[in-house]
This record gives sequence, structure tokens and C-alpha cells, in this order.
Amino acid sequence: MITPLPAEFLWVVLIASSALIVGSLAALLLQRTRRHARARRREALDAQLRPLVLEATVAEGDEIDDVLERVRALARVEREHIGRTAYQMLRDITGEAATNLRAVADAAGLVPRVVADTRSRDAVIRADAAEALGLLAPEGALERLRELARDPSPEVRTVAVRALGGFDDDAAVRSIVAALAADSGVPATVATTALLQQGWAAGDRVRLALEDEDPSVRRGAARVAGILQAPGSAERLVALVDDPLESVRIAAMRSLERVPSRDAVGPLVRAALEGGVLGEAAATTLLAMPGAWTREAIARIDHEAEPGVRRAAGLRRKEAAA
Amino acid sequence: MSGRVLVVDDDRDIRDLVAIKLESAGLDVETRPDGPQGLEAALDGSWAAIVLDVMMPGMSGIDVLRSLRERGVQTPVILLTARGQEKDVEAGFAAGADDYVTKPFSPRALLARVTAALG
Repeated sequence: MITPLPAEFLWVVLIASSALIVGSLAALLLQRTRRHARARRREALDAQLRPLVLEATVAEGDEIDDVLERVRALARVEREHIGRTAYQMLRDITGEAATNLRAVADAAGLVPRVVADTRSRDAVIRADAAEALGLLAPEGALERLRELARDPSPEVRTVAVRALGGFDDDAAVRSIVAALAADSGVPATVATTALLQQGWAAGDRVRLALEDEDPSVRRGAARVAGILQAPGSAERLVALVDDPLESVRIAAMRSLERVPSRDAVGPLVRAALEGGVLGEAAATTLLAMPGAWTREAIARIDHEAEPGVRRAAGLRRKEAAA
Repeated sequence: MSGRVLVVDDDRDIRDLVAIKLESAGLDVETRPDGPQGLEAALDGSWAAIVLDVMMPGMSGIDVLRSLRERGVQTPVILLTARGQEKDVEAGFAAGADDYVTKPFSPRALLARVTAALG
């Protein structure tokens, strides 16, 4: 037999439940009200401060000093807002307007906060800070970004290497080239793109990296040497066709397709006759070179190489030819 | 310098920035925040040039440009494209663009392109 609960107890449960529901609704309402209030404050700040940021982007000569004075005179919350706005705009802007926006962000006190964030325990915050350092480019940013390019987190390293692409400096290029190592954790496309931003300086550094003691750096440099088509790199790529490491040899061969050298023909024929993946890569490279250079080499491959290498050299199967 | 220029971009920062730069050079600028409104304005008004962002949700800048050219509007159009999107540049010229500027861009360089388009 079931004993019914006392009516008083049921009333207490009902009142408690109702109070809980009402309390939850009130908390939700309060939360929404606060969120709306914050959004309204942001909108008001935006309406008040955006004209100043826009004015900075078109300021000429001494005009920017006046804008910066006005930024420095703002309240802390206003400076924070203006710093964020200038930073957001920097993503799409280059040239003189970008220089002015960087000055605005600096006057707004954004730089010390970003530098502090680069030392955060949170990798996401460090990565964001690395991107900001690249865009704001304050004094000392290059050194800090080079440190972040060796950060324990691969995501932070990747962002830092991408940001270093914007710095026209040998030290920046050295860090990017180091990121070409296969075990750097930085995608090769990111490091390559960063290098491409460097122009001639990148070519010089890549040529040196082709002789690096670290085979993974040699491999990375060999991969991008062809893309950059750096003058003078062909000679070093030819030497890498005989590198002790197979992956370095293959990377060098791929690049020699873009920067062909007559001196590469001999080493490539030797590699082709070794057969296997390496031999096929060598034959493919020979096929990409001018026919006048490779006629004899191809004839030798036709007689001496294994079928896969012959196919890679564009030769018909012997049975079919017969 | 004088002339009416229409700027179409879904990014308010870019829209305002381009507008203020062009206005600082004496141009009369109007802005629109998306493709459909941009197309409507481009068809309604008489413009000396149009600055058109390619990457807009819904109706892209290329779609707007194609519609304009199909209706016989030959106003000079300068496209704003993202870096590394060469396909956009190809598609833009195929649709009848007169010039393009790659983001991130220099407002001064954009003004020079607009000035050149105005002849």
C-alpha cells in the first residue's frame, strides 16, 4: 500500500520548483539585458570613434599627429575600442593608411597588451597575439615573432611564420627557412607563401639553406627553390641530386624541372639507372628539360633503364615499339 | 576631380574606408552593403565608376558585374578581390571588369585606379 505524501510537503515542492523556474527566467532575462546593454555600448562607442579611425586612414603628413593626440586623450575604454577597430581594419589595408592605423593602435595602447598576450599560457591567445604582432609590426615584433616561431604549439609556430613573411629582414627569412624542415610542424605551403613575400632576400636564404647541415632544412629548401626560381640555385640543386637522403634528392629533382641545368643531366642519368621511385623522378625531370640537352641521356635510359623509368622518360614499352 | 562613384562591399569598414578616401579626393560617393542593393543602385543611377567587392554573400561582385554588362551598362568597374584568388580576377575580366585591386590594398592605390578609370 502506498502512503500519500503530506499535502504540506507537496506545497513546499511546488513553491520551490516555481521559485527555481522564476529565478532561472530572471537570470536569463538579466543575462540578455546585460548582453544587449553591452552591444548598445559597443554601438555607441563605434558611432563615436569610427570617424576618428577613418580620419586616420586618410591623414596626410602632420595631420596624423593631431589624430594620435586625440586618441591618447580618450578614456581607457574608448582607447581599447579604437585599438580593436584599427586592428580589424589592418587586415585589409596596406600602404600609408596601414602605417597610420598602426600608429593609432599604438596610441590606443594596444601593443603592450598584444606583447603580454604572446606570453599567455593559452596557445590560442598566443596565436592571436602572433597574428596581431605581424599586423601591428611594433618595435621588437620581429624578435618576438622569431621566438614564437619556435613555440611549443605548432599552431602558434604556423601563425608566427606566416606573420614573419611580412618582415623584410634576413632574420625573418632565416626563421621561415628553418620552418621548411619537415618536422617543424609548420605546413610547407605556409612557409613557402611566407618566403614568396620576401622577394630577392628569400632567394639568397634558400640558396644557403640548400647547403644546410640539417637534411630536413635541405629538403624544405629544395622543395621551394624551384617555386622561387632563385637565380644561382640550380648549381646547388644539381649537387643535391646526389644527397645522402633520398627525399632530399627527389625534392631537388622536382625543383630542377622548374630551374633546369645542363649540369644536372649526368647526375640525373645515374639516378635514373638506379631505378625505383628515385629513378622515375630523375627520368621525369630529364623529360622536362630541353631535348637538345637530354637526347643522349634519354637514349641511354631507353637501352639500360627498368620499364618504370623508361615510361617516366616518355619512352614507349619495348614490346610496343617492336 | 569630380564624379559619382558607387562602392559596393559587405564589409562596413572597407566600405567606409574607400568612401572616405574617394571623398577626400573630391568625389561624390554612395555605398551599398550587398550585391542586390548594389545592382539596383548601379542600374538606377548614373555613375562615373563602380568599386565592387567580389566576395559577397548571396550575390557576388562577379554576378553583379555580369548582370550590369548583360543589360548594356558600360560604367567602368574596379573589382576588389582577395589575395591569391586569381580565378576571381580571370572571372572578373571575363565578365567585363576594367581593373582590379587585391586585398589587402592601399586606399591611395585604389584612388589612383579609380582616377584612371574616370579618365
